[in-house]
This record gives sequence, structure tokens and C-alpha cells, in this order.
Amino acid sequence: MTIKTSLFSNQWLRFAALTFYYLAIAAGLILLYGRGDFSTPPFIYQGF
Amino acid sequence: MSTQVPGVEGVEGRSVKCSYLGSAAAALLLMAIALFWGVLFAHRVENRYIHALAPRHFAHKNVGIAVGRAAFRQSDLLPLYGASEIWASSQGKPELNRYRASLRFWSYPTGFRVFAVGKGATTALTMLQELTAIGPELRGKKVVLSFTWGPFQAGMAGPDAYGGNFSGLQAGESVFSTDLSPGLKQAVARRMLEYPLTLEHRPVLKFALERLAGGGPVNRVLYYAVLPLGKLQNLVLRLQDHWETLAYIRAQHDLRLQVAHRASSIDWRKLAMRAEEDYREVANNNPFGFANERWEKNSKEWIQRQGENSDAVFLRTLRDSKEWVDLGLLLRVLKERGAQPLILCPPLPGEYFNYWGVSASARRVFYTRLREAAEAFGVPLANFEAHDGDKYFVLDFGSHLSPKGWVYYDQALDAAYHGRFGELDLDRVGAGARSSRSQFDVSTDKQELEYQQLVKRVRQAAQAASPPKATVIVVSDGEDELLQMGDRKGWHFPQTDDGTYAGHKPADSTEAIGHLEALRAKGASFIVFPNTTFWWLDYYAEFRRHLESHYRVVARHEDSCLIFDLRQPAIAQREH
Repeated sequence: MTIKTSLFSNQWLRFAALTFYYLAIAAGLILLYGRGDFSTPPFIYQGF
Repeated sequence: MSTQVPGVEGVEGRSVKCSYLGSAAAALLLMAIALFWGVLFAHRVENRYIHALAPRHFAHKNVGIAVGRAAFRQSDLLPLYGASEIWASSQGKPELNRYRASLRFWSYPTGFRVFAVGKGATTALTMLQELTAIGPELRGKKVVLSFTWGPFQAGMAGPDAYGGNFSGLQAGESVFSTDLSPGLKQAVARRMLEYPLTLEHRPVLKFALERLAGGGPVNRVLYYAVLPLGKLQNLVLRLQDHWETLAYIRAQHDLRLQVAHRASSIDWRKLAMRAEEDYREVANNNPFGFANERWEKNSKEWIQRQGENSDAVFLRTLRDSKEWVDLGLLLRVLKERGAQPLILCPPLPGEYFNYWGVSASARRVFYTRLREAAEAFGVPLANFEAHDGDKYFVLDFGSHLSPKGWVYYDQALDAAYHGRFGELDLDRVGAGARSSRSQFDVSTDKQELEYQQLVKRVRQAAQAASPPKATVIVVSDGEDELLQMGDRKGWHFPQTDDGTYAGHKPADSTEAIGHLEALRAKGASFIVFPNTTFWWLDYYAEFRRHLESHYRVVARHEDSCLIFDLRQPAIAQREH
């Protein structure tokens, strides 16, 4: 059995690794797409 | 050794699935906790920096809500919502910007700072969404609303203006709020749906608006069905709002948390005089008191407008503007939320409007209508009507405030914050208002003299046209002097049941006709239109047709008044 296999045969280590993996995906998605677009379209301000 | 049968999950298979699900659930929980702490952190930073942000003008202030909510939580910040007049600069001399409220109250001279929010062509419907989104922080709080005359003219602020100020976050918070009355939400939804371009990429918002606007039990069920999705969307947008706000704060390297509070009493009169002196130096290349740079940029267009407008057109566009509807909705929202609004509105540039073709009496309709709109909700108002002819009060055609105008605004803001607004006499502050004289000045004393002469002519004409002891209705604008016609009995039109002036114009011709006939039934035998009210005959066209078809004109003087004899129908008179 390799070290890697022995690590992942541990239920809690696998749980923690998976949790961290999902968190990393979520964080990546938030960083990529999380920032909102609050820009407003340009308009002709007549200024009267 | 366990034997695995293909296609059949064993204990081991179910255990693996549970660990994936468990990890996913744990990741979600951790994320939720992180977001919760992130929001708390954001609140802390926003509260810490809000005083520094209050006088600043930046894009996200207009479309977000985090900064606004933080401002409303502070007792030493006075929120001021408006449009470009909040930020318009005194071009040519940047140091004149010190009269602007955001800078005037920089060092808390009287104990507060102004939290100013506004962008060009912000209308009442936009302000409604900005303030609804603030939420429960509005309750018991003062908020000052600034309006200029432009949006109250149909066609001046078009759909582009609304779209250019639209915020999906603020709209979503308004639409999916659950503490406003259904009738109010329906009315707001109907107005928002009149701008479909703003809803193009917002299917949830659009769907909810359509359900709200439609009314009825089915639409109500569908609205509540989509409400959780709307709330979730709002949650995401609010998180993004916090992110944007924190990013802005982080990018500012000159935000000072500590600003020395320098208490000082302000001599408003002297300040107004100084402001006018300062402004005159940059407003001397045109006869209207407009800022030199504005005049240089726009003079060709503004000069060409001579006589282009008329009272009838001005009044029609005033009547047709939906800004009145939106203002009413905004005040309803603020009332339901328990806020304490105050309205400020710079005067029209009277000199220029005369040049344009709009008379003082037509302009008075605007001031009156705005006053009535505010009074209907018990909202204090300062529309600075007495400064209509003060050419150094505003710096351009759009009524952006000059330094002197700002001093008046600032005094009103100061009084509002300290609860003294009712004691303020806005005509008296800054005695310099009456000392600004040049060959282009409209002297208020001269106007007063002309008006008194008109009153005298109207009374004489009415006495000449009517028999002794006749009851004469006068379209009076509340002026009691017009009713003194010797032994003739003068009545206001319109009036309340006890005979006092009603305080507002009829909503339409139908109301005017009904009221006239009611007074005629009570004994009124003549109706007098002073020439300052000739515009009624354009504005209330059906009313005019009723008068002309039913009654006889007994006096027509362009320099005083028009009088109808109500005693007998015109047809009966012709037959006799």
C-alpha cells in the first residue's frame, strides 16, 4: 500500500480533503464570477 | 474478502456516496459561516469609514445600499438625496464648491455632516428604489429630498435618464420587500414596468413586477411563489454590494477616519452675501446670472430659445409629467417606512423663463403644485419661490445651485437636522438677496407694485361688470385682496365648504365645472379670471368650453381680467 493510498484509506482524511476540494471550487467560482456588475448604461444627460 | 456483484451497491458503495455528500454539506456549512463573518466584517468596515465616505461622490454610492444603510445608522449624518444639483460644481472657480453642503458641513460645524447621494437626472422613481432598499434603517430618520423643475416637465427626463440610474439591487430590494402595502407595491410595479429595457436581463424581477402589477389572487400566489427566489437573488446582490464597497474603500488611500470637529456658529446672512459676491465674478457674461462657463458652452442654444415656450405648453408638460405620480409614491413609501422627509427645490431661473416665454403666473403653478404634493403627506418643503427672480440663486437653465443658492440650501439642511425647519424664514436669510441690482435685475419691489396695480384694476372691472350686492367668484390663488369689491360679495375659486380658499387647483376640468356649478347653485353670479390666471383657460380646456357655451362674457381686458355672467345660461340670454 502506498502512502497516498494509506492516507486516503483514512475516512476522516478523505472527508477533510473532499471538503477542502469543494471549498476551493466554490472559492474559485466566487473569485471568477462573484463580483457583481453595478455599472449603469451610459445615457445622454440633457443637462437642460 | 468481500464479493462485489456488478450493479448492486454494497455497504462500501453507500459509504463512499455518504462521504461525498457529507463533504459537500460540510463545505456548504463552512462557506455559509465564512460569508456570515464576511458580512459582519463588511458592516464593521463600512460603519468605520462611513463618515469619510459621506461627502464623497462615487458611482457605487448611487447603485448600492451598503453605504446608504451605514449612513442611516449614524446619528450625526444627514442623508441628502437628489440629482446633479447635489454635485454640480461652480465651474471656473473650484474654490466656490466650498458652499456645497457636502463641503460646508465637512468639519461638523453644527454637529453633523451631510451624506449626499445623487447623479445626473435622478428622478423620484429612482429615489424611491434607493430609499426603499435602505430598509428598516429608515424608521424615525430624517432624509432630505432635492428636486429640480426639469423632471416635472414631461419629456425632459426620458427613459434614458431612468435607465442610466437603474440599480438591479435597489429594484430587487424594493420589489421583494414584504413590509410595504400591496396597493403601493402594485402602483410602483406598474411604473417600473413602463421601462422594459431595465428589465431585459432580469427575468425574476420582471416576472415579479408583472405579478404585482397584475393583481388578483392568481398573480398574488405566483408572486409569493417566486418571492424566495427573489430574496435569494437579493442576498447574492447584497454580498456583491459589500464586496464592491470594501473594494472601493480599499482603493482609497486618502480616506481620513478622524476629522476634527470644529463647532462654529454660522452667520447665514453674511455667508449668503459673500457667496453672491464670489459668484458674481464668474457670472458676468450674460444677462441671466448664469455661470460664465455654462453660458459659454450653451449660449447658442439658450439664446435661440427666446419665446419658444409658452404658458400653455409649459403647463401642459407640467400636467403630463409622471414625476408627480412618482413623487407621490416616494412620499407614500417614506410614510409607510416611518421616515421623516423634507423636500428642497431650487427656484426656476425666472429671468430666463421670461425670456423663454413662460410667465411668472405659470411658474407659480409649478411651485403651488409642488407645495400641494408635499402638504398632502405633511412633508415640509422649501421651494424658494420668493427667489424666482433672483438671478444669482441658480447657475444655469436647469436650476443647479449657485454658491448663494447653496447657502440657502445649507441653512435649510442645518435647520432640518436640528429640528428648527418650521421656524425658518427662507425669504429673509441672506439680506443680500434683495441687494443684487443691475440693469438686468428683476426687482421684487417692482413686481409687488405691478401686482397691486393689477389687483386694483381687477376689482374695478368686477365692480363695473356686476350689479351691487352681487356674489362674484374670483380665481384668486388665495389672494384675499382680490375679493374686496365694495358691496359685492367676493368668493374664492376654488374654495372649501366654509368658503376659505381650497389651497389647490382643481385636478381637472370636470372638477372645475362641478365646483363652479355648485357655487352657482349657492348664489354666485359672476366669475372673474385675473389675467394672471388666463392660463386656466388653456389648461382646463373643457372648463373653458363649458363657460363659453353656457355663459356670457361681460368684460374682457387683457391688462386686468375676463368676467363671465353666470346668472343666465348663454342660450337663454340669446333667446331674450
